[in-house]
Amino acid sequence: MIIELKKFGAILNSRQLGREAFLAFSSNLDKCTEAEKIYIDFSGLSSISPSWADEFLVPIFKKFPDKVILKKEKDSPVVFVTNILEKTNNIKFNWE
Amino acid sequence: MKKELKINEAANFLGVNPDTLRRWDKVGKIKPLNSGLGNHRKYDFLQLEYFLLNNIDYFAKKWINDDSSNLPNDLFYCPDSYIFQGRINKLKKELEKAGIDNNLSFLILAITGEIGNNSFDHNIGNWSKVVGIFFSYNIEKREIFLIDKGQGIFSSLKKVIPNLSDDFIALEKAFTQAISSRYPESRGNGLKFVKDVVINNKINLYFQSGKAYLILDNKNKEVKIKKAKKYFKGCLAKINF
Repeated sequence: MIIELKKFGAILNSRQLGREAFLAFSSNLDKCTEAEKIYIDFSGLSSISPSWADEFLVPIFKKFPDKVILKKEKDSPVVFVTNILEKTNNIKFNWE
Repeated sequence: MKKELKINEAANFLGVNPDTLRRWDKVGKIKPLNSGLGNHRKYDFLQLEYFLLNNIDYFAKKWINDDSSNLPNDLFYCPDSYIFQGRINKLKKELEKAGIDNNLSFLILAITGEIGNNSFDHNIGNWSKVVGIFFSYNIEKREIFLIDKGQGIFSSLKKVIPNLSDDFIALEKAFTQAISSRYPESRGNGLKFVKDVVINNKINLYFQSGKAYLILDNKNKEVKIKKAKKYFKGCLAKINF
């Protein structure tokens, strides 16, 4: 499964919107088979804030820590967001 | 809004005294359409908007120093987070138009969003005089202003750290430790993220809450809290890039 974040909007910020996105998308996650990986695709985003990602990305990662893989983009500023999420949640994301 | 405004209407729109407008006319700061005709001065509405956006610094200070519950001009005022989100989208377009590098734009939008949404998230039900924030920018001057008249960092954090002593410690903790003042939420990463972004990019941040302020950029990477000349109860952020 590939989650294309751009499908949630070009600029993803605020906890409120991140939480709404997670609730709306949760049913899709249940369709994920046991062997399937969940790829997170940041391409095409104009911006994403840690608050949004904390409410969307982190719960998905905590539910499926071995399945979630972040798709790497060269020189992407998204690492500022993932770094702070790793520090504050004491987690380590898997990258492609 | 009418295209041409009489001096009283123009003064009301800008939130200044008509005498101030007359003074500005004399010194050439803002000229009416028919300069020098006393009370018959008329102002072009678009010219007034342009004047506001070119003097955000002045109008921000004026609003900060206003102890009443007056709202900022509509051009600056975001009463709720949905309007703020809409204006962030507009900021994105303005950054694109100005040719700002995509990666820098990505980060500017992220830190602006964090600071603005912090104001909304941390003041729900606790705004003091004005609900909502002052948010404006001037891309030519490379500046963004975000101001709220909320409870400020100290009051907000004191709810989860009861022995917190003052504005200085509160501001330092907000920028260096992962604490959420939104009990029982366990996370609080917004201002730490802002710091990481600012000190590693060509961005400058002035942030004040209460008596405490800090300046961060790629030469001032350490959080050093200083005493502001003037107390401001809420939060005031100025981003330059």
